[in-house]
Amino acid sequence: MTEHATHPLVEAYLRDLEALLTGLGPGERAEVLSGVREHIEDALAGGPQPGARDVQTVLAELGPPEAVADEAYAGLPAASPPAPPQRRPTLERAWVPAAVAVLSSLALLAVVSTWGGMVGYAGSGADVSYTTAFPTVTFVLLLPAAVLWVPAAALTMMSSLWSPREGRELALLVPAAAMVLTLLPDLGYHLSQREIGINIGAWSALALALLGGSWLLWHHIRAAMGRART
Amino acid sequence: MVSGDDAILSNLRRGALEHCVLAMLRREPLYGLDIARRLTADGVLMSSEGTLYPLLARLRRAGLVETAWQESAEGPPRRYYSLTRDGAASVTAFAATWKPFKDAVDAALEGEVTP
Repeated sequence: MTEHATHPLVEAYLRDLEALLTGLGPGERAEVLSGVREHIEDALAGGPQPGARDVQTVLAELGPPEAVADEAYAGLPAASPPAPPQRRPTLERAWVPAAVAVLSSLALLAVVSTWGGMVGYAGSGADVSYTTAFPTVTFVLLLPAAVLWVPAAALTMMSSLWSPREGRELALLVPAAAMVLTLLPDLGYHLSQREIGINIGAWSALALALLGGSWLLWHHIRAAMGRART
Repeated sequence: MVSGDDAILSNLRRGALEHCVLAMLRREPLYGLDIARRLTADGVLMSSEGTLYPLLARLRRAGLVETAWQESAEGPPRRYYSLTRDGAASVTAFAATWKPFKDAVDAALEGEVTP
């Protein structure tokens, strides 16, 4: 995730550990490895560019990979409190980011195509009172997008795969795209008082909503997918 | 005597360490590095920080802790561990057992020294 994790010493340590943990189930192995990897990233995150000595110190404090593996195998029979082994909570599995990705992309597309149609209409030279007709009509047309967005936002806020800020960003993505698409053409019109202003505003809004929106979506979905796997 | 110290310590840690981790989480959720640094501070409870992670994985699988991602000021979000209801019950049960156990061990050790 960060450049620290790719330090050759760190990679070698994690490779050795992974090789020693082959006796564990894949889920548990991944969980131990990601715990150790995050520990290293966290420990090195303070300084500017960690040198070999910083890395060696952190690895020495972690102890030899054999010690970590011994602990992993020592606990295999059962942890002393007799609790039934639990599956990962439903809202922390990989289906959540997958569903959020599909729902949010469709909602984003629905928003964009709604506005695309309206802007095309307004830009075609039809004599409409642009600023008054626009919001009322689009409000109704936005219903499909809202239907897709509501479950996506609910899943995002309920799942602990995202930090609170990441969850907010994901949930606000579609409304923000709708806002941008509404406001920028209006802004363009008010600034220029001409049709070209609407078009410039609309095209920049479209680019912002599509490119910015999909980048943010991809970024957060990828992170959550990685977290759900461990 | 000295050669046996490590073996004795690791045997003693076996049952107690995971409850020390659970007890640390009673006040607030903590992230891995933070837990590791607290445990190794005196060098008694844990010597290799890395051994914390199999232990945390085990506790999570047993349903005693759960994880959530939280923002961090220094870098990417961190995985925080917090106590579940079962985890809290486990600490309470351990604390209730630990006191008489410790007293009995102390009494036995003192008994050896002064017959």
